[in-house]
Amino acid sequence: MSRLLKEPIFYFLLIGCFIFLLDNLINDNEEDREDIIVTTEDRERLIAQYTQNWGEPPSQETLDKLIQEYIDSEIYYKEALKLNLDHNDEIIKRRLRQKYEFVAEDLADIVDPTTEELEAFYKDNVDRYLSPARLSFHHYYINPDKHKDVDGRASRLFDRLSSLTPERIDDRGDNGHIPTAQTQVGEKEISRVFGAAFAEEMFKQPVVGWKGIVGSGYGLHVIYIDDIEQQMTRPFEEVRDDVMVDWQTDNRALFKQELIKSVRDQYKVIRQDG
Amino acid sequence: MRLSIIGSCLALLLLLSCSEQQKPAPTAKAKETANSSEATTAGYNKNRNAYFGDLHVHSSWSFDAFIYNVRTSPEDAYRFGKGEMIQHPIAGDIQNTRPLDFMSVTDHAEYMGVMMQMLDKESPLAKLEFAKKIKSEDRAVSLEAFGDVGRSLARNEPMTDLTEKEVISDTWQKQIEIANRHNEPGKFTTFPAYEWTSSPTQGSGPQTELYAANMHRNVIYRGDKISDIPFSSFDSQDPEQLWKWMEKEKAKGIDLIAIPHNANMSDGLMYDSKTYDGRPIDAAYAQLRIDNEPINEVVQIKGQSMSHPLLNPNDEFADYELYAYTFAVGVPPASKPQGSYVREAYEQGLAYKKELGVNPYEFGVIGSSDGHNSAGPVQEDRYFGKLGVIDGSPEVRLQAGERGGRFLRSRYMSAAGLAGVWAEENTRSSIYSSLKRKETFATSGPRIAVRFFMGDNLENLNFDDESWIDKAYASGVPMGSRLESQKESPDFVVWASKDVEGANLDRIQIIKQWIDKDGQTHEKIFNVAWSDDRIKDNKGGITAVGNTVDVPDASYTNTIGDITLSAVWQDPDFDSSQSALYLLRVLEIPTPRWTTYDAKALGITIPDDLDATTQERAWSSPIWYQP
Repeated sequence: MSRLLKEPIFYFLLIGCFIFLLDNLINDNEEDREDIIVTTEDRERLIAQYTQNWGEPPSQETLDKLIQEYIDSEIYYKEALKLNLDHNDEIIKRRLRQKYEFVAEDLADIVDPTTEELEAFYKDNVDRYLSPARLSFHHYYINPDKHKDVDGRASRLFDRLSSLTPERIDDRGDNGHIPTAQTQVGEKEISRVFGAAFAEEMFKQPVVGWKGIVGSGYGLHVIYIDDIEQQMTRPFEEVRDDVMVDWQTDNRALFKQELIKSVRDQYKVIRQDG
Repeated sequence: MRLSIIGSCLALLLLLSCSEQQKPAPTAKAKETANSSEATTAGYNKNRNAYFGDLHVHSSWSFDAFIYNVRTSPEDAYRFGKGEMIQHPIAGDIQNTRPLDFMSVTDHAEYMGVMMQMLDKESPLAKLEFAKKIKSEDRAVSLEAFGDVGRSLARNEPMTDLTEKEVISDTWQKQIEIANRHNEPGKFTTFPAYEWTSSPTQGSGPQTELYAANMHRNVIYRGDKISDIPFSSFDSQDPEQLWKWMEKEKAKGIDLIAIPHNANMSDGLMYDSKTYDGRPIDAAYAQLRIDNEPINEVVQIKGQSMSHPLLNPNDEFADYELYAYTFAVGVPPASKPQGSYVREAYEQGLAYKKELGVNPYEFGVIGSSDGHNSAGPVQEDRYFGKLGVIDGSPEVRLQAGERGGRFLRSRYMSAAGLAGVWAEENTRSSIYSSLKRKETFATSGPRIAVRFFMGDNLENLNFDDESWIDKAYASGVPMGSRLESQKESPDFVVWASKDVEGANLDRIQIIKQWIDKDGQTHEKIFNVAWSDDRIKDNKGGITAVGNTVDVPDASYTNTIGDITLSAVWQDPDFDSSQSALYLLRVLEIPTPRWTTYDAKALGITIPDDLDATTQERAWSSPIWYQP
């Protein structure tokens, strides 16, 4: 959190605080009659809200009513505050706590990490940015509906194909609905398409080349593995967006935690509950 | 220290910051923006992939799930959908060994999240007298409180403490945020959603004789822009009012659809010939309905809504997973079949089209679960029930009735269904487009993939040639579409592939419905592809595929049935002047019903009132022929 000290926003806040306090001191003695100010922004906001709810802008008459309602509710609000009606109200307390938390989150988001900070975060959490192991392979399918001796057909196809490389294949087996060439697929994707047992078998010590015959719920498949990608760390540039989201999520939580810790110190808790 | 200064300055920031209403709700920022690019994701296929999902899952944020001790959240529900393990109130840890491709958590809008908030000591709701009842250790007291909630819904009288806009809005924003966070383009698609739970009271007389009809709809958002607050059945129980509200939302740039479900429990209201407020259906109503409800959910835990033996007496497979009850505190009256089933509605739709020029029922179909454990029990051999403690163990499901328990009906519930879509890739935009154009199919749970096209010059299609799908898309229209006028019968391309981890296929049927020149509607079922080289008899019938189920062992073998079935078919009775629709039904070979696995686990014989085996199935969205 020490980097906050280097942030311009920080000094802006300090100055703001000062002005705020000053303003409170100076304006302590105001005249009795209070102002309710309706600004152009207030008016525009009322129009926008109404339009969003009803799909069309309010008529002049409706707008007058909306403004009058706004004025009334400001008056009620101020009067209620004078009577301390906001004290000990659970809903108001909860709402304010929530707003406070929102502001804290926004405040945390104001601080954007530098690339160096992101890279450091990436290095500390590198296990979050692993790519799963993936295979590229060809499968030549044997549909049991089409052959009396399925195993025989499979081993004959394997014998014939295994003397060839995929480019020279002349018998592609039966046409299924799964493309013969599968490129860069992980265990999850393979499982989704060929079933879990098949996927597990495929990842048993895979070696580039002819693997043999693997069964699935669809029948038998003669398998050639073209390429194996081991599980590895994805480079920072590739996952930068993910790192950013993770950094923000972590930072928000950390910031809130630190904030509440420090605010707590300003209170002396007196337990009178026996 | 510096942070404490910031703490004091928060007050100032509040003064400086723009008004809170204008502040967007926190959402998953970077990941969402990253998706909006045009680049395709891994697995993109211009001929579309079959993706399987569940657009109907409840978590503890639904009042009824909460009451039956479910404590898992929408967060857990999405985690379950992705294949992670979550907790069930009595079944221990549950896990879907086959992750879904897409999903929506659809908690009831009415009282969404309030029960969970009552447990939260920080929440003002926890201090309500009602909260004490809900939290009571005494089951009778908490059930009484649930009764209050149920009655409030049936009478449509909201408990005002629990429906404060603030409360609803907070929960709703969290739902959206959770859905957005779990959306992973190319891997797992989520749609923010909720259930509109209209359950209008039926009957008259004392409270005990009243019952409620099911008019529920799930409201599904495409995801870029979402309503500030859901339209609940407290706003109106009339679906027409829901659609009118949806039209207003659409005018604000919000993309959403409503998906009705359990018409089978609607007591004839879902596809009634009158509107909810008693007017005859007119063109404006029909248009409003089909604009907002392009899809219906037709199979789930509470049975299927496609067919009923009384309405489809000539269909040998119509009597499947019937759950024809209404809702009631005690023993519920039966739900009236007329007006409660899709096949009848499809026929009526042809008549409306002729009479009004608009077909209110030109909708596609999906299945889903309606699981209330933050999880859908899709797999028959891993069934864990629908609703928390009510049906979470084999004992309560199969034996409670014999001990005089109240929930005897649990055993008639079905293992969950799934929604099938044909989409180029697993992203929000691609799958949502499939739903809108109705290129969808429903399954009773297995991941059966079903292709269906209608068009010209497809008679010589060779299924052994990989390019057949290119040709079918080029010369035909897929399921969910409308085919305009033809001189002679178009070619029907039908294709189905078994679930890779499931049972083989028995047959594909085409169900044809049409309207003659006198305005009479008709239905006829054709067997078009079947397994094991069986011979068709001269009436078009096919002998039963057989049955390999070992009932005591709750097992079966794939020694019968086929892996894929396909055919190009022509309609021998095609009349180019008649409006018609065609849909596919694909049957698996018989497999053990979930209750058979339960009976094995308990070491009991299967109760007489239950079938030991089931023929799971898939239904395609229809293709309509319009001369």
